[in-house]
Amino acid sequence: MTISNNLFFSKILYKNIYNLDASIIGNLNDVLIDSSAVKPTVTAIEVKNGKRLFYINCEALQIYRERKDTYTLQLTSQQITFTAPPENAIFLAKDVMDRQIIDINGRKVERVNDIRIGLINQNWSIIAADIGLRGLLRRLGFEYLGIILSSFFNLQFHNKLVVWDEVQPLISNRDNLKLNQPINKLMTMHAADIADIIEDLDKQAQIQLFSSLDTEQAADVLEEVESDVQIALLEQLPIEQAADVLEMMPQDEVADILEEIPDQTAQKLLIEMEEHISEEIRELMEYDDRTVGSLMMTDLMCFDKDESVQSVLKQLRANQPEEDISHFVYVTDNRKLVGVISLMNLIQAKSSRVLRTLMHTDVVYLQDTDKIEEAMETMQKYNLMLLPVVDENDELIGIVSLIDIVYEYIRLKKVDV
Amino acid sequence: MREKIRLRWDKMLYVLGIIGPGIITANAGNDAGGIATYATVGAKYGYKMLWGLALITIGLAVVQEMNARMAVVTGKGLSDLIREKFGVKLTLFAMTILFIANFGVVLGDFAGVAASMELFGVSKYISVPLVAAFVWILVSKGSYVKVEKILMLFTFAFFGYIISAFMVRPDWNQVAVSVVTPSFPLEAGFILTFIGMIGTTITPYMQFYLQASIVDKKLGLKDYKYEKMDVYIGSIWSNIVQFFIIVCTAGALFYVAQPQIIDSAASAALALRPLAGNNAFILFGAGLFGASVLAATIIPLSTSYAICEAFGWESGVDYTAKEAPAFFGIYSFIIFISAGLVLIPNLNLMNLILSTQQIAGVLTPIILTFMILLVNDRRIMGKYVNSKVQNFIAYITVGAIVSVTIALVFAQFIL
Repeated sequence: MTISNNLFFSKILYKNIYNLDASIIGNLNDVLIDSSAVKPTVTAIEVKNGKRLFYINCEALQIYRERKDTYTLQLTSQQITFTAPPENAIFLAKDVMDRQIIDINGRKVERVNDIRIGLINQNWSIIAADIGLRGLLRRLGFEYLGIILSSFFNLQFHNKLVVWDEVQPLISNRDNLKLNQPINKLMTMHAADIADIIEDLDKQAQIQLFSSLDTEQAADVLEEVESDVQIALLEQLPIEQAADVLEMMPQDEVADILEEIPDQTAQKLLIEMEEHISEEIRELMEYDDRTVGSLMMTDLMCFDKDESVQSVLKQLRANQPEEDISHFVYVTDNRKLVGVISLMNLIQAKSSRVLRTLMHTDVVYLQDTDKIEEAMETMQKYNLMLLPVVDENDELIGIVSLIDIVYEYIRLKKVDV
Repeated sequence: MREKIRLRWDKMLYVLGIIGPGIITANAGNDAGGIATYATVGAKYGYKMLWGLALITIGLAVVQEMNARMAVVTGKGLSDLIREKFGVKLTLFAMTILFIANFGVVLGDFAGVAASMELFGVSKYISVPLVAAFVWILVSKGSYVKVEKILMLFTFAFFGYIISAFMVRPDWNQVAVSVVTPSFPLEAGFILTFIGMIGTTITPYMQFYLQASIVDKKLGLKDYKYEKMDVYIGSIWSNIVQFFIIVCTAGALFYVAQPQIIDSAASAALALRPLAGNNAFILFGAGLFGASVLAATIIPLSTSYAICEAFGWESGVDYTAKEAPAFFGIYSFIIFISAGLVLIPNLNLMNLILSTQQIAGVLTPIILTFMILLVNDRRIMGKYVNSKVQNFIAYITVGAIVSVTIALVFAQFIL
């Protein structure tokens, strides 16, 4: 009989706890954990005696290993402080076991079949989640049958463990949407991966995870998830928060999303958003979805023909436009599109020159009412990835990228079929 | 004004978008097993079980409302919730029950395929392997959604029973009296048929399927009032169809000079004669075939999803068999083994169909018990736990099915 400092939680769950005089005080019904730390630790033990529940200090319990995988739970001191669990206490068996977690490295949603706990600095901590078949069999009491069977086929029956550092649990209380532990482990992941994970979660976990992202990351993720999940997320998020996220997204995407959700909700969101953004989105929503106008980005870099190179560069530095839309700078005269300058030319030019003396005046452009097919043809003909878009008065109102055009083209093809 | 009309129209479209899972699920209960069972009820016992059907309708509506509520409150499937509350051992138990019941229902549906095609003179050794292969490909390719609608159309054939029911001129007074007058002879045959009627109306798979479809639709609490309507309408509508099947077969086959016992699909089709004359076989055969293939497609798939969900295994038709072995294994097993069993020579198909429903009936209370415990857990449902009335009806439903099963054992072995 040795003192154990590393074991599977299922091996001690519901086991009898012996008092100093070898009498049974009850069974280990669950343990309370402090989930705010990155490595959660056990804070107290819930003991069940008949119908009665009470709580003992974690330090008062010693775990002995009898033989292979049999454990005895022994109290080591009479000095047990009986503490009632705090409201919103998190339990290992009730809230973590059998629940879904995110395996950060594997980028997948998994179910916890068992939990490896270990003694670190005198504290019992959660070390790893068991997500494999062996964990399932262990819970059923068939672990050794599995081992014998697989050795019969000359196979090693491994445990499938995910180290807790690479686990993002999804523990939360029913009544509030906040997750009960830091979400920072997810922050390093790419938005597209987070989007995949969110799609795999159930509705409640989806909204919990999503609302704990910061606004910028939330916007990136929302852009990547499937449209039915987009709608579900927006409808559940508090309206101010949803509006904040939408403000960070490309306006053509926002217009697409808002067209899909019930009118009333869309209007509420638009009212909540900053006025200059919501106005542009409203305009985009007016367009038929087979036209260039529905796809264009309205946050573009355009400057008056009389501005100097120096002032333009200064503004570019200050505004930091997205890289993929800043290869060209468009020149306007009284809002009318009159010329275009490549970013390269702009950088090479003397800082005192004004745009009108640098620009090309034969600009290829699209009308906002042009069909998507026409836009594709024009882009193919002139080998351009980006084109400016003008309205019926020749005023510059946006730009459209080849990527968005192709994406929409494929989508419409699918819808038609 | 125009704006107002538009808003109302939008709202209607929205509500129509929510409605569906309840109606579809309840009507899916009218599969081969359902039709055979209700037809037998009418042909063998006349109106004697109509009171039972009325009570089962109430039970079904309450149970399905619980599913809808759990789906909108938690956004989780039934097997997810069972795993999270009850742990691995009880989950294995629940999933084994579900698997046995669903395997039985699919077996019944392949028997339905065989029986319906025999009406058209096609041997079961040809029809069943072909349909099994067809169903397996449909499921594996994930293209069953398109075919689903076509198969649904076939099942409209059963509405013929409603018209037929009026054409046989039943004694409506007697019908009405039977609905409110319970009669329950302690006789094994009667009790067994009664359990079959319960089993085919409140099938275990329906609870999993309904909850999953509402979760898939991403419906939330604000859609709850429409979804509630959906499940209530669905339960009542499907049981109205069942009511007329019983009245029709009772009128055509039981309350006549020479009562007929339904021992084959051909005799069940006879009840449609008043409506369709000599085409009754075609009408019944088409309906039975469509309903059987539909159920044989949906049930293996939904079983696979439920079990994989519970144990955290990869699931979905987007995965390859190597990536999701359990998912592919489960539905392939159900399809091919049940189809294979139907091919055993000299099988009475009608009896096979009926007994699979009776097995489902015996297993139903187990799944219902899991549901009642879940829906009353405040940790899961918050303030949306069952009301006293809902619990009363739910417990009565479970208690009644269990008592009927005990009565069967009693009648079988002691009397």
